[in-house]
Amino acid sequence: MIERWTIKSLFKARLRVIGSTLAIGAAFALVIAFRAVWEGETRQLAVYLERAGADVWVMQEHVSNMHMASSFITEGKRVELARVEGVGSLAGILYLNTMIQAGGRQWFSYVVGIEEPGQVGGPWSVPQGRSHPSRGEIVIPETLSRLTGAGIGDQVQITDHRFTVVGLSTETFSVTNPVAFVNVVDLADVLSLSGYDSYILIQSEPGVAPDALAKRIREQVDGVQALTTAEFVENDLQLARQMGTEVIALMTSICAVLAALLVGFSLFIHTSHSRRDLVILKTLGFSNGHVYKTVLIHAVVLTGLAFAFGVLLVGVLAIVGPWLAPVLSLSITARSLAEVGGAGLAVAIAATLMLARRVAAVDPMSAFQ
Amino acid sequence: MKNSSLLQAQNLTKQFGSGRTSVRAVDDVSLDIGKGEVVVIMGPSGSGKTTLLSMIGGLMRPTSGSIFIDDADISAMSEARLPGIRARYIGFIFQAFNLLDALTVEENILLPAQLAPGGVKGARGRVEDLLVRLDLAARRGAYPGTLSGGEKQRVAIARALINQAPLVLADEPTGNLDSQKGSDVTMILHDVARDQGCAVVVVTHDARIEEVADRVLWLADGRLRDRKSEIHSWARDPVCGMRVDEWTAVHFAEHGGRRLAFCSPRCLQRFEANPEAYGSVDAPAGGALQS
Repeated sequence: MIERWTIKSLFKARLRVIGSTLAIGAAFALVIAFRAVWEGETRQLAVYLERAGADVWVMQEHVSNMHMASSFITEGKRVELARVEGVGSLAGILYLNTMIQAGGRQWFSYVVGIEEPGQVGGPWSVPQGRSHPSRGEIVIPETLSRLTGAGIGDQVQITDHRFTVVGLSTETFSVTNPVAFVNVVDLADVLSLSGYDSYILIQSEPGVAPDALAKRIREQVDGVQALTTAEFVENDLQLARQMGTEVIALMTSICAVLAALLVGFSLFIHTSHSRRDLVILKTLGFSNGHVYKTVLIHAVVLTGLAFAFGVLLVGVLAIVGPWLAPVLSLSITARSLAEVGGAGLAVAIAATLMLARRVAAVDPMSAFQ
Repeated sequence: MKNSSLLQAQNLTKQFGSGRTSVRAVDDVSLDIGKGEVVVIMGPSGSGKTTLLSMIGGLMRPTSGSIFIDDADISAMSEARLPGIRARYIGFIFQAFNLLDALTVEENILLPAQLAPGGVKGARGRVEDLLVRLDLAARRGAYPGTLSGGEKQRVAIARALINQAPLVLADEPTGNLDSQKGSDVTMILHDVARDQGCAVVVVTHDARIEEVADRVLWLADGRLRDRKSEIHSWARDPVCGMRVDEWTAVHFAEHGGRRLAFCSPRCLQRFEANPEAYGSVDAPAGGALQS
């Protein structure tokens, strides 16, 4: 029966509950949105690796990433790699992390140099223009084109080299690392080197498992690292997550503290308004433990409602986000929700503890006043 | 149906503060109340009635002395055990009713049953009986905000009885009720003691309750003394018409060269707001009703 009172008394003050839910929910939404943006951007970072079309990636020995990495292997390795059993086809790319200047803005980007039309490692979705850049040409993400105003036929600049935009690709944009494609000869000029690949992308023969092929390459070809696409993607995601873990943890902590304070404040207000009822409960023989339990239930219900509202808010954001902020990629994962939900439960308990002394101080004697 | 002793208070003292500012709200009070007995404690405001009731109810610890309920010394019990004693041995009735506004009549009555053996489920039969006995069956789903004062107090009484507590403590149970409803509540308390064998201790200024009391105790300056029930100086409250004992009344007003006695602060306030509205106060305040 005390549980019934707990719930009914909470919802009797509907406006207070709505106000608290909105405020705490906004704090949760902030945490979920931070994490969704981070996760979305991190996932976007690996999209090129996933969609490039390779089964196995070969790179300079001791290199295991593309993100924030440089890799150079001599073109001669292609011959050695072609001899390894199970290699179906291979293609090399050059790769550079650099600034693209377009429309008066600079954008840190992955620039990939490709050799032939339709080769693995090139753009896979180009709704406007051409997908293969010849000398002096570049394919940039459609979103980057929209943000910088550089459309087909316009000029962009990489270091001191100018390129004409000939194609606009999709699925290749992220805020931190949009991917642009140029002719491999141009990128070699930019890098002032020749006879090198950054990565060699291998497609295995039918029936050959990528991990077995990668192992064989590592054993038979000196001076290179070979990773399956799945391993390569995981390495980059891990690196990106490591780089952002502290920032995300800090933002999550700030929002969690904010949520705890809001829950605590809401409970404080509710407990103050319910003080007379708590006095009656204690007079009737309900112990401090019972009363703590009612406050905890209030906290959990408020936090649960706020969490649900936060998820709803971010869900709406995920739907309208592409219109409002096309540059951002949101990814709401079950793991992220579970973690924020767990933090929410901790927040509810912490807020209840904040009020423990206040609840203990409720004097049943005041029932006579 | 007066039985063996249920409540014993021995040399009960409650002192607030210390040194020169200390006040003895209750001073060396001893009491022995039997099962089925209705005991009324009267006295002027500030005489220590509520302090005494709080100590008997396990809500306040005495400075010295001891309190036994059914031979259990509650004054020596740990704080953690007292809520359990209140839940199972004591039913409380308050002047302000103290119902939980979020719960219906039935839920309010059942609330303490959660703490009794058998729980809420075991109390279902008893709540039906109480709803019928106290004429609340039709209002079982109503919320306190929609009840009259008399109904609220009947709900509070039902709540005090749901756990079949052997001791019922009532603090000014008729204080917020008009004359008729106050009389109803008085009779219910009397019946509770007679039919269920509960000891009922009532702190009140309402002289009507004396009529059903087995004993009337007078508390003044923290000290208790028996008052012979035949000593009265009856007057009529000019507002509600209730019979008031001038000997024990605490609310008075001077009007037209006469001293008028009132049953409650509410009646006094109503009178003071518009004395001319109560023109029928021509009869002397006392005397006519002298017993």
